[in-house]
Amino acid sequence: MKEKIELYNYSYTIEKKELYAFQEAVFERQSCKKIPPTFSTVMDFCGGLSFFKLAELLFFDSSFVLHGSQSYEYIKPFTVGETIDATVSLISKTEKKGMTFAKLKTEYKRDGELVLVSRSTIIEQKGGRHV
Amino acid sequence: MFNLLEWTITQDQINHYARVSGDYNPIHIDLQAAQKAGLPNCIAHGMLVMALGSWALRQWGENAFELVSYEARFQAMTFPGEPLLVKGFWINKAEGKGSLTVENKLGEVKMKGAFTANIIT
Repeated sequence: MKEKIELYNYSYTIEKKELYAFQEAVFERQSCKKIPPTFSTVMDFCGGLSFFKLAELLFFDSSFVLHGSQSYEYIKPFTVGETIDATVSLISKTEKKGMTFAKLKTEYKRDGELVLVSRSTIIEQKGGRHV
Repeated sequence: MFNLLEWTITQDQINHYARVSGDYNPIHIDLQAAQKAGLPNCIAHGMLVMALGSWALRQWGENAFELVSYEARFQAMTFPGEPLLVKGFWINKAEGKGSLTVENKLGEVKMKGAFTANIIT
């Protein structure tokens, strides 16, 4: 399919404790002043769907799921205590050489204002060669 | 060219990253699950490798970079204990466009990335 489909929405309030734990895990100094560039992965898995639920939603076998690519557009800064509303859409789902590629786009808004856009490619690949 | 940076991701770091990010894809944290998927070992999350890239950007730019965009293509598996090199350079400094790669010491590219940053003077 190549028609955008809205998959799900969620809200996530950024907690200092979760931010600090993530900063430690990604080799950053603990600080409320700067959200790490890849922090939205915490919002997605902790505020949105678990890895297994997401795989199920995509009709992927969770034993063979890989991450092919990721990109971010940083539009406005956001910080601890703020609530972010995310909308996750399936942009396309295609098959090639025994692999299935799902392209997802997530728009993150604060009080209705777009602050971040994420795009990712998730791959179902049995006997995987990618990450 | 920015300073070459070295890092080795450990299985403990991968496990810790899974806990705090909530990404429990078993190929990262369960050896049997990784082997079932045809892998010789657990592999690092692509997002942890991408975070290594953003760590490098901070080392290179400290507070002088304000990221506008950041993208990564994960090209090869990153295994725990594998020494990694992070390389970066400006494609067009005036426009704040740069490139970075994470590779092992044999030159196998794990992640190919690009970024755009406002340079705060």
